[in-house]
Amino acid sequence: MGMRRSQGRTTAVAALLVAGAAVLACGEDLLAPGDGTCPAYCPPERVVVVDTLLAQNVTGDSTFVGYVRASEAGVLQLVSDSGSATLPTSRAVVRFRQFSERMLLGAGDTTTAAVLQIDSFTVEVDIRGRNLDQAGLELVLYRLPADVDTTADFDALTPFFDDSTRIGTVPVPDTLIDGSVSLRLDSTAFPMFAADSNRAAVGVTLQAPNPAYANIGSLETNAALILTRFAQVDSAGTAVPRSDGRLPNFDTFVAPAPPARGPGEHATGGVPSARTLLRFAIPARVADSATVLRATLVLVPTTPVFGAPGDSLRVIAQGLSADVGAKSPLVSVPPDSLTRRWAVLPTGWADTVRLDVTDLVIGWSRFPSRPRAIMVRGTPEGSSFGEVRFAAGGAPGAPALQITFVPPLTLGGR
Amino acid sequence: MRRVAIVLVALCALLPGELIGQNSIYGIRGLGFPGRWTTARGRALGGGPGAFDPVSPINPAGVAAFPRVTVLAGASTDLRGYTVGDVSVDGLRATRFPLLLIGGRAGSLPIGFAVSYAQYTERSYDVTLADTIDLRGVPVAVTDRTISQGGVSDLRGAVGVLVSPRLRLGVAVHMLSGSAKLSLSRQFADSAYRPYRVTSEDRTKGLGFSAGVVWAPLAGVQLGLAARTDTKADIEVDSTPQGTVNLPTTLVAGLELAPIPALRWSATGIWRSWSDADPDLAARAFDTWEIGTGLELGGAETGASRVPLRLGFRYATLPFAPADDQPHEITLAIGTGLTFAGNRALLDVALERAMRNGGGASERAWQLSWTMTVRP
Repeated sequence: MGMRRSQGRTTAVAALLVAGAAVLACGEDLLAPGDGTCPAYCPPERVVVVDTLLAQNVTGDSTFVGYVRASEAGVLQLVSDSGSATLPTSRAVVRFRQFSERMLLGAGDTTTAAVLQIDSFTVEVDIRGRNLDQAGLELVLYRLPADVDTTADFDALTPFFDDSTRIGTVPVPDTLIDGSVSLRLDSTAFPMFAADSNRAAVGVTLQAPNPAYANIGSLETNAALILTRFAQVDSAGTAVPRSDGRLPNFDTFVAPAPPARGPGEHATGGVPSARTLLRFAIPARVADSATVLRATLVLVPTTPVFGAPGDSLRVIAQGLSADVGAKSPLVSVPPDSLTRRWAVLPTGWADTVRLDVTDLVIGWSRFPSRPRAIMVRGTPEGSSFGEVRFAAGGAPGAPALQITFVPPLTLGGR
Repeated sequence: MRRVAIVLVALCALLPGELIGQNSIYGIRGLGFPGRWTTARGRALGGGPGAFDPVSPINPAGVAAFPRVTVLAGASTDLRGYTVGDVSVDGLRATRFPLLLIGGRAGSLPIGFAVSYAQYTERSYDVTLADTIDLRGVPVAVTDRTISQGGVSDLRGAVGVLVSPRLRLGVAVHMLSGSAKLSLSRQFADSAYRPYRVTSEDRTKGLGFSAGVVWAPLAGVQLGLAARTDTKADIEVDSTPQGTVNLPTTLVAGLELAPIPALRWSATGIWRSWSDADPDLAARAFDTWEIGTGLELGGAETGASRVPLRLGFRYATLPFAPADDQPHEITLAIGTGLTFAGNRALLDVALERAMRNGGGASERAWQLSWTMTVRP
């Protein structure tokens, strides 16, 4: 009996020991700091980081213009007339859809009635951006020929932006950043309204004590100007007030042509928008076997960034899925790289522009069939006068790629 | 028998996918830290019985002593700390399963056999290094981490002949095979730089042959001698040959005295020509000496006490160092063992205090090891 009890105790102790060992076996903590112990008691391999500037590796470059025109832009940029040759001056041109001779009598009723008399108009303008540091902005509206179209340029329209055609002014509240303002016009605002078959067009300028800009909504972003007509209509012999509105069927903004590009000069941004295509030759030691840690496209402006006072130009570098020149399809930018891939350049910026293209250059190594080319463009395109110009390949200050990489490393050293 | 089966299943469940052994800061350079090739009983005795122990894959002549089928598995946990220069690190911990053996006797013939799996060298480490480097004219903080998981294993097939009750002879073939998963990564404090990581798989192959003899000239006296030669190790990284490394010749000699059944003293000396590998390595490689001795008091089979007390001492020089100063190791050990299931199962436990010095570093470790032996 005593022996059996003794055997039982032995078995229990053994089981406890095995269980204890099993518990200990579950953990491992080998992590040790190498600071101060290297290189003697560290593995022999070391990460060697190389940084190289590929300054003469542009093998082809072109600027293409006309991707987005002013009439296709998401906003219409108004720039006050500062009198400066280095700042643009721009005006919006909006032609509204034709109004009908008759108006609906009431909501839910398809019966229409003849317009007896126009009482007034309102124009509603959606502000989509402006100088935040400027006060006292005003929008000034002018009456334009009702048949104005895309052929009209700044100079051709200048006679119509005159006191004689001025139809109203609406102040932009200093606190308004994104919202609408409206202006009531009397019935004489468009004296040729009936003769023009119930059509109207307006021009809008920005007036400010100091150079300033304001962006107003356009058709492309469903934020265009709205012209509302208030009229008396014939309802069974009785004149009753009714109103209807029209969106534009055409809107754009015009400005004097910017200074011409010099030879050997590329441009990005502007109106109509321009893009620059840069093709690179990447050395095999980088492209074939290295691990790229960081790659930066370096652009040196030849002149300060042109644009509206207080505005800024956002430029982005994108890869190409195929290189077919101006119409090369662009590779979308991964969301986590987006903020690094673009740079925001204030008007007047003259310093070097650096765009992070790390994932792009890594992609060139992983997918050798991808064109080793970068398209630089403004974003959004065509919505501002912001334009950066930089030297072409081969010229001083030519576009360059700065690549930080680790050459091939084999582990297993003893 | 059923209990034995349960124990076997439990043992298998405890074994991890990779059988790798002890690690040390002295195993970062060279081929790694040499394995101990002994059981918890052997470790408790300072490695003293290594030259005769049937369950230790040192002397193939030992396997002739297997009375019946024997299955053995061992594990070891170490708690470690080291000092290099002004840097001291504590709290490192690892558990490994460095020994597995199945042996037995060929029917009624006087021939014993064993297949064993032991750790030849261990090369597991995880080292971080913080630094600041200048990138694009700006100081950038970086953290490097180097990890190796693996080592070289020694798969041995041994045959021993009981020539007479006093003489045993044995030979063995050793297949050396190993792999280590290596990775090196760098994180930059500036997120504009992408993290860097490179991984490789390091493979080592080799072959070895050993032969030995155990002679008992008198009752209570045993002498053991063994020799082993290993070929060059072929090393590949990611399937690309990287060259060969000369592996050492090993000579073993041991003596055991048992004046009474309840008292055993044993000592084993091992010499290995690790300096053969020196030209093939970036680190320095030295020949090594290892002297281990131990005293065992009592034990279930002696009739004196059911629980033995084991005491051991071991001195060993270590094969690899970054400098000309060869490191060495002193180990003090204590252990015991339990038998159960009618002496068909044995659990041996050893606790060691290892002190390593040399090569500009020092290391201290507590090592707890256990071996479960089943004799169905």
